[in-house]
Amino acid sequence: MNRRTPRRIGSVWVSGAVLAATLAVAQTGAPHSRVARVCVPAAPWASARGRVVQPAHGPAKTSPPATDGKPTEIVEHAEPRHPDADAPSASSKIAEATRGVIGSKHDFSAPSGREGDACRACHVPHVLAVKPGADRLGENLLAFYRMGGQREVLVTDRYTPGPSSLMCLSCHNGAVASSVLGSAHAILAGKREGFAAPQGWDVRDHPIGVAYPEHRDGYRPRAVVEADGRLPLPDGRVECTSCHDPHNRAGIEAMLVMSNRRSALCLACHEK
Amino acid sequence: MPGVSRKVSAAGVSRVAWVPRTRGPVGRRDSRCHTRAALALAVACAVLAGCAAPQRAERERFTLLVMAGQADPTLEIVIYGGLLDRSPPPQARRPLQTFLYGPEDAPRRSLLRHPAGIAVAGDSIFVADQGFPDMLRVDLPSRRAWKWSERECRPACPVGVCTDAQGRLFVADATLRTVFVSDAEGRCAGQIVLPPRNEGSGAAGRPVAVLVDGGTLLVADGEGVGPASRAVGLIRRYALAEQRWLPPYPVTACDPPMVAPTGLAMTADGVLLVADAISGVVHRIGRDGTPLSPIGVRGRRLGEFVRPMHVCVTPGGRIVVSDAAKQSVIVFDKNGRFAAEIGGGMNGFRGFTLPMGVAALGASETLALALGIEGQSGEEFVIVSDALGPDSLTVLGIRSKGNGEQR
Repeated sequence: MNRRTPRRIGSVWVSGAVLAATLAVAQTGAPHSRVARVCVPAAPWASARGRVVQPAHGPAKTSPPATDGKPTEIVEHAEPRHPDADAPSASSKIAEATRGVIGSKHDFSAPSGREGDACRACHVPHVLAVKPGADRLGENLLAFYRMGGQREVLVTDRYTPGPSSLMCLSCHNGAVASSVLGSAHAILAGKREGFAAPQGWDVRDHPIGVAYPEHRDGYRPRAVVEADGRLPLPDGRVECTSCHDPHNRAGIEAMLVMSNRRSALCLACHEK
Repeated sequence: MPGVSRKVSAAGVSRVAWVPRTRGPVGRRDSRCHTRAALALAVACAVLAGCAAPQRAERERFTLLVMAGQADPTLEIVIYGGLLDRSPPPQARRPLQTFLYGPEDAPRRSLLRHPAGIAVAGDSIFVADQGFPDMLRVDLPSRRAWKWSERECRPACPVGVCTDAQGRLFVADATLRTVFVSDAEGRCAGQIVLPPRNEGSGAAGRPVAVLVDGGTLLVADGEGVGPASRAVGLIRRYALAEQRWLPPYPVTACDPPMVAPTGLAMTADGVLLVADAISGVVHRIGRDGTPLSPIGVRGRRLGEFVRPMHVCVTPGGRIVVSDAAKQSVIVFDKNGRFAAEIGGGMNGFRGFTLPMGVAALGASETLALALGIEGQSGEEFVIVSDALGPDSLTVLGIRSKGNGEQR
């Protein structure tokens, strides 16, 4: 008998046991496998990549009475469970999206002394009476805090930054925060900007408000960049939020979406 | 006359003989005549072209869009359009432009790049342009623009600008934390550095808006906005004659608190208006520092603020505020009641992109003569600067319907 035979047989038995256990768990429907808990950020651009999987509905199973006298757990549901019953609450979604804001440069709650003002500086709700963190299911509450302020339909031409970038520029124009308009940080592809750098600068760093050059050599495919999930491309364009996270969730300096150590952020799009 | 000559014979019969042209005295006189005729024709054409062009340009530039005030139907807003023409597209397309934009597109260059704060002085508009960066003077009659600052007073990030009765220009530079002063001729007259909030320590103040009130320069200090110091916005005062800093504007507790002052204006009765970009209101402060009821509330509905940037007061007392995030200009009456909002999609107006500065013009007759706009009696004109929109400066008219009486 071959000495290797017992090991091979043993490995087969182990694999089979693991497979059987996996199938058993799947059939019993463990609670944690029903719903894919995905955090849905408040920013509208991310809604496409965050989905809440609906739990399976159906009548609950009732165990038959045991014949040995031992009590049997009976699970009954008089009504179908709400689709969002197992989903993260609205307050947890807000907490997830804003945990990096508190204490950052985007936290404006301290001057006003109001906790809710950490969000309201940018996410201006329709109704001021909405209580932040109220446990209201669904997207209604988050709709109040969706990035906005500008008109619903903004026609951006080829050279105009998108709505999210314009919201950034409403403060980063020198009046409230450091100016991007007159700096060498980013090219604003406005109609009259061209590629002129401000006086004293030779070149500028990076364009915004332009379509992602997905069909050009030297750039990773757009699907690859978007699949990564860390670099959003709102409407297929490079905007401020492509590199910077206003919520500062990663806690990286300059509120980057990812670390740029060894140019990792740059190489996420550029192929070098 | 060369070429033809007639000979009359004794019998009275004329014969036509061909006389070849010769280079004699006769030929030289003829060339001079041709030259003079050509010159006269060219001068006539130039005169006729010069007379016709301005009228044709006026008709093409201003297409009136008239809309009624949403909250005040008796109010009429007239959108005259862009104030400046855009320069022709560049002759040579640079390789980098072609590479990124494609061969069929090329961005047009404008006289202004990223205008921010603006101020009006007589027939001129002073524009703080961050795109150069520099101060530009726009002459209304000729609509020409040129750089205004000398090298010693050239700003790095001009945000706010104002003038005084002497014609001096004050420019708030948020990066250099300095207020540059130049005289009426454009010569550098000095620099005013803001002191730190805490005496002897901390960073210098950051001027974002300026306003001259008599002999005092009011400076909105935006330093420390955020969670670090829990500091609120300050309105500093500088005595121009004595050249020293005075105690800050006596502002008692505002509700909502003044967080990020970005625009200053003064009403005729001495009430200070402060546009607050973070609180989303326009604070009203009396002479003694007593806070009055603010103008507007934060919100995204009509008449509400998201990011109020600059504020101005028209000669009739109306208050005009630019909202950079809402991309609109909002008009209030002298009592602070919402009257009208001008934004994109209204009556065919394509809207603003990043409206920054607003400035009210003086008597309408001045603008009518300068631009050829025939405004109605009592109509007030406001200039709006757009940092990113296709029109750098947009002219708005505010008037009352019917008898022209103001509200």
